[in-house]
Amino acid sequence: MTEPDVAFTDYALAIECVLFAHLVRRREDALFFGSAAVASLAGGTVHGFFLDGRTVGNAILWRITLIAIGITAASAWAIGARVLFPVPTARRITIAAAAAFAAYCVVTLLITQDFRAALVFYLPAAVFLLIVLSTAYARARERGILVAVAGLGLMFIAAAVQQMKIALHPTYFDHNALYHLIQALALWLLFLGLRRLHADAT
Amino acid sequence: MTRERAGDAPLYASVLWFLLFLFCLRVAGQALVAAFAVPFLPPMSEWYSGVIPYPILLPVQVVIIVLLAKVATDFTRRRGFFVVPRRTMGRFLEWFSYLYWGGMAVRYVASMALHPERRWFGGTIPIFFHCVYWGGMAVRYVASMALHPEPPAVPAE
Repeated sequence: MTEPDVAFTDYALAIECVLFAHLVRRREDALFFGSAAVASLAGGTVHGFFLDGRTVGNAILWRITLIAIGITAASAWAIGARVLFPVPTARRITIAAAAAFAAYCVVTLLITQDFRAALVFYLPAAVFLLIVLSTAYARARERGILVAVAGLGLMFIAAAVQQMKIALHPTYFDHNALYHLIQALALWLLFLGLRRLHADAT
Repeated sequence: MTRERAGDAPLYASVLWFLLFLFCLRVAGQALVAAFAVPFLPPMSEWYSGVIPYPILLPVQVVIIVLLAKVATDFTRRRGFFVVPRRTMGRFLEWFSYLYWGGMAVRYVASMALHPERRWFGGTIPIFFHCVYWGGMAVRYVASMALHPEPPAVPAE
């Protein structure tokens, strides 16, 4: 195996996300965590066995990873829209996100497989969700929403840790593995917050 | 559900969780050998036949863990997709699992006959855990049938 620490933490993240997808109630929440699980499973296999970009395994799995990240981003738009806006507006935002996702698929399948393409697509969705949840918290002062906001904040910290290449150990726990560890905590907080949020809404 | 059969539910769930635990140990053991070549576990050749390459096998094993966890969770909660009996599919899975166990027995005998150097436990890890996986499937069927018995036939007037 090429990067076992990254692959194993990715697989653990996949199992966690499947669990959350199973436990959440709304379809867009399940899609968010389910697609994150697919991205982690495919990404982990790339890190573990197909790092060489010339292999067929890399070509297939990396595209699956990028597209799954795109689904996660599109569902983040849908979650945010549903939290803050009336149903017709939320539907329009969701349709726009789906259209953007279709364009993103064309780009990642045919033009570039650079991870930055996924970041460019995912970042606005994450910022939108952060703004939406912060606004919802400012309105309702509900602790559950604050937990979800903390989770999203932690996701940005995780991304910073990854970009700055901060590692616990250069060989046994590198910056990508640490990123996954923080991401696992962040997703757990987001899951708790979303569950609380939707439990209150029903 | 009769009282005796309802009382069996925790036992079925415990057996399923135990089989899942065994399978997780097997996956973790092979992963440790693949990643770090740890000396206290058998070498890679002992863990699988090589028919499915390990880069494909490991993600499939992760999916199987998730699937078995879902089965065991459903039985613990006594509701969910896997607790609902589907008799035709269930009977097929039960008989397929018996066939599979038989196949594993043949594989063991053939392996020991063709490779005397393996006697008696060499290369038996995959054989044993194939039985564990399909044992889980059989338990799932038997348990769902026991918890949801067939309604008694209505006698003709």
